[in-house]
Amino acid sequence: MNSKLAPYLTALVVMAALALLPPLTKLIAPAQWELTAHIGIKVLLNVGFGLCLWLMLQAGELSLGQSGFITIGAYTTGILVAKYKLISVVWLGYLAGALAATVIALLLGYLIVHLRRIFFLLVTWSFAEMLHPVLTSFEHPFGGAMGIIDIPAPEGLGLFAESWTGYYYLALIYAFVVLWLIWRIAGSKVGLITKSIGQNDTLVTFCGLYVRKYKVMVFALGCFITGVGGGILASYLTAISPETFTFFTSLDIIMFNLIGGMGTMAGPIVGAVILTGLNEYLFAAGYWRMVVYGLIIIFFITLLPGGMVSLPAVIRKKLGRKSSKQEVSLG
Amino acid sequence: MRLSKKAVSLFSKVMMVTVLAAGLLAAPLLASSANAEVKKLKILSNNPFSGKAASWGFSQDRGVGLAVDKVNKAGGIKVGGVTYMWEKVRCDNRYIPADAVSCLKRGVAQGIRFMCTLGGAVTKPQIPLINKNKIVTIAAIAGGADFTNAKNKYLFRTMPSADLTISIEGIKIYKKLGVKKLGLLTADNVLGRSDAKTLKNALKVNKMSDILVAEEFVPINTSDFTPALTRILAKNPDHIEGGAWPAAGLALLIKQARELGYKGTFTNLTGAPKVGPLVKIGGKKNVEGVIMLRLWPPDQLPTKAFKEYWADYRRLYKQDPGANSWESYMAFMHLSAAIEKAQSLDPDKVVAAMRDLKIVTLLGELQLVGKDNPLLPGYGINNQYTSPLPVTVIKDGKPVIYQ
Amino acid sequence: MFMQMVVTGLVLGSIYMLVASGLTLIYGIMHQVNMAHGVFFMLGAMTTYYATEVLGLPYFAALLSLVLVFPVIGVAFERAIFRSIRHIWLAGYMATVGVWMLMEGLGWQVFGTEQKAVSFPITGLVKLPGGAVLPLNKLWVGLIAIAIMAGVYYLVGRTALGRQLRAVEQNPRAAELMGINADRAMAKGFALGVTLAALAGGLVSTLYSVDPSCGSTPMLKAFIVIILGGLGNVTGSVIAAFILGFIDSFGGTLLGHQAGHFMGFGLVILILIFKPSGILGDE
Repeated sequence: MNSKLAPYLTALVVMAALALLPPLTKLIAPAQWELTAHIGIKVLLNVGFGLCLWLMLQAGELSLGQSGFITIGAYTTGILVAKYKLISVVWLGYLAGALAATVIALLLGYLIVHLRRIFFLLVTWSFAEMLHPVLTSFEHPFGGAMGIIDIPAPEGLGLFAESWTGYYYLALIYAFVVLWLIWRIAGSKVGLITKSIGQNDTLVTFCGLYVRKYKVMVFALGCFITGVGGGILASYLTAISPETFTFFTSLDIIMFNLIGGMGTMAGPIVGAVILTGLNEYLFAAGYWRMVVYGLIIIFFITLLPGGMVSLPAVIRKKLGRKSSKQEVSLG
Repeated sequence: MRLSKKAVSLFSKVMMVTVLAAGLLAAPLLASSANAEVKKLKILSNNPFSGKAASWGFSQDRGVGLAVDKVNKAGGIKVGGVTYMWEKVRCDNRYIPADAVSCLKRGVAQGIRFMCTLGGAVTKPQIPLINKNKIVTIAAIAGGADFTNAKNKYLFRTMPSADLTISIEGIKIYKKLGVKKLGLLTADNVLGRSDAKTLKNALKVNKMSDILVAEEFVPINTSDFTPALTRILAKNPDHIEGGAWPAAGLALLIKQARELGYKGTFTNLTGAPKVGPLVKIGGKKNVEGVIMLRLWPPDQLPTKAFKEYWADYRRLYKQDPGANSWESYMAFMHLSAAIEKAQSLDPDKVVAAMRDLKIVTLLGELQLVGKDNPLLPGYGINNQYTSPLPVTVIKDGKPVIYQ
Repeated sequence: MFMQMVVTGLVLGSIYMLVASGLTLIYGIMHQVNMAHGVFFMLGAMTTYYATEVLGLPYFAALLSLVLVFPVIGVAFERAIFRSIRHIWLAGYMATVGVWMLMEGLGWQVFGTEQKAVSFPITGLVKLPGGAVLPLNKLWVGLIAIAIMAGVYYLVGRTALGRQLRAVEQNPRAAELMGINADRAMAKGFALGVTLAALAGGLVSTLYSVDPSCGSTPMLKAFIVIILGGLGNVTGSVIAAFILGFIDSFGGTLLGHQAGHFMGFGLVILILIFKPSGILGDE
């Protein structure tokens, strides 16, 4: 088989398997379908969010402000589609939300990409924090403390008998399009340059490449992905407020990467599945949820820094066999 | 685009993981299909169990919990020969609107048709889903006709609405105190904003609009009120209405106002904060004379049933119950009685049975009002619970009924 | 009203200074942003609460007990979690986040959801010219904060421990060559930072209420302060604390509460973009 086509075929098979989940569940256990869909939608959207950090991580930076860009995407969609009804097509609302997130990311990125590591982390975090007072202070256009309610579902979702199925497929397509996008970029020239920047940006500059341009591009692309996801999430939740996406949302997105394996493409996917699943399991646990989160972070940082993806290699190593490859790239 | 072998192997790994994801998605489906046969009637407790509003959430959850135990111990609910036992399903919404919607979606997905929730901010975005899925909801929410109206058939308000607290009792108290300059300092959320609107309306109706000299909104998690208080005190008010605060917020507000030299009086018409923490945090001297609604002093409980409830709550949770615990307890008893009366689990039939059902519970007779009531303008539907509404004042660090 | 704003600004400034001191020391010595700072603040407040309200100790004795207990807690955390991952910036950051969530979650389980309060032994008011009033408890908290800060300056600037810490800060490897045990020095530095956080908790919580998340807001303010002051720059953070105090006081009084919050973070972004070394930095 042609090795170029293999990954696409695998992707198609997996996608088909996931696409078969709704009819199969409805057939086998119809009573469980809605709960399965609810968890599935959250997992798939989070896979997209987790992957948005991947390119940035390749460039050696980490953003703690993704909640801000989810908020921008969600609010733009909500304001245009629900609050003032300026756009009648929800899909265009998503696009507008993604564009708003991208434009703001380009502006912010241009100003901040010269900052490294903890400074980049802190500045993106400050940006997300700064949105909160802005959103609560202005009744117009942000809806104040109440936020925005009655955000409609996108057109075409009505084709399905109930909205769960529609949202499930929407989230599925979102996750796979994001995966495809990241995958294509990773293999392209931009992807390679980004990776070299993460390894040694001075050397990249000596090659005559403008490091800042690539970093801004990668940052903006991540925020574009986040913005689209924010719009979809706004529709799914039907209501958003300034407190909807917080520091902890951004932290979750970093944790998807941490749990799965920093810097690997499978990492954020595994991490999103595990952490979202856990979150849904702990929905009634109140403060125990924080305890579990804390323990998970400490466990992965101290004992398994390569994340779940590195587990097979670690086990092989423990068993005394030579590990083929180690995918530890924390820091 | 050229791909190395390494990249291909990476991609197939990615795909393997995705398959794993599919497996995980299917897991809850297989796990929970086993116990579908048990005749259980679930009520979703969609409340904050962490964060700043957690004390309200626990209070309501425990009230409903005590009622669930009471009904189950008495043999459950019998509908057409089948006995149903209540089961309370908790979901922590952290007092975040989107989390509350997520909790409700999760509840709907599990086939739950009854819910208790609290807080205008988190209830408002749930309303479309409540109406669409016909979820019979008992909710501790302030506000007025914006929540309780003919469109929201399934939403029942367990606590007295702002029309009952602010417009009737509040104005009475202001008149009695002889308030000349009123300052309002309330939370910057849906509850605070809608309370402010109701208050202004009520003042207008009573031709007292000119007494309101200052209004300030600050976030619910504020601990330093000094800047906002400085703004208000610049207008020399003789009375401050601290609106939608839980105990700690109100206590700090009062303490800091006193520290800035404020000598006037305080009321709290909607928050129903617990007196214990209020006195401890605010200082006994500072909170003397604060007037509050909805709170019963522990030694002046009106009925025997209520005294028993109070003792049960104390025994189980080692603290005094909050107002929304007994309000939701009573509403839940009413809901259970209505299901038995309707002899059906159909939401429309249950709701119809609730409308004209009177039961005797903790504070005597409990019923729903709202339709054709001149005191409750615009409600148009019997979805507001009423029971005696106490006015309490703090004397010597203890609540007593205000004359 | 102007005088009142100045007084409020000074009080808030000295509180922010104290809360930020531990954070800035830990960054200065270990180059680690300590997200668990608020948790140690909370533990300090809780310890003070249990020492005064349950054990019945006098308030100042309870404050002193913090100085005895928290260095041990600090060293324990450093040994158990932070030492092995110190050299990886992100791991260090995430580990402190983990400790924060773990301890706060446990805090809610152990201490309960009921709000608590610690009362300050000195009460009363001073009337100042210009119609301003200053509560005596706030005056004393401010003065003690300044005294603690003076102590920190003495400790870092004039003692053998301070010299070790500064040597490790400049270059850990060179310090080791000079016969300093860098690991131990860093543990001591971390313990010092944790103790300062706890002291801030014990003092500042008397003005507000105590619950397991009571450290979050002060920590947020402390972050703004240490970024404005230049990460790790002690003098810079002292000045930045008062700048933020005045922003919150004047901004909050003249423009409303949210404006103060917005201006704080806006300033942080501007500083990070144009002068990441902080207001006193020489870059």
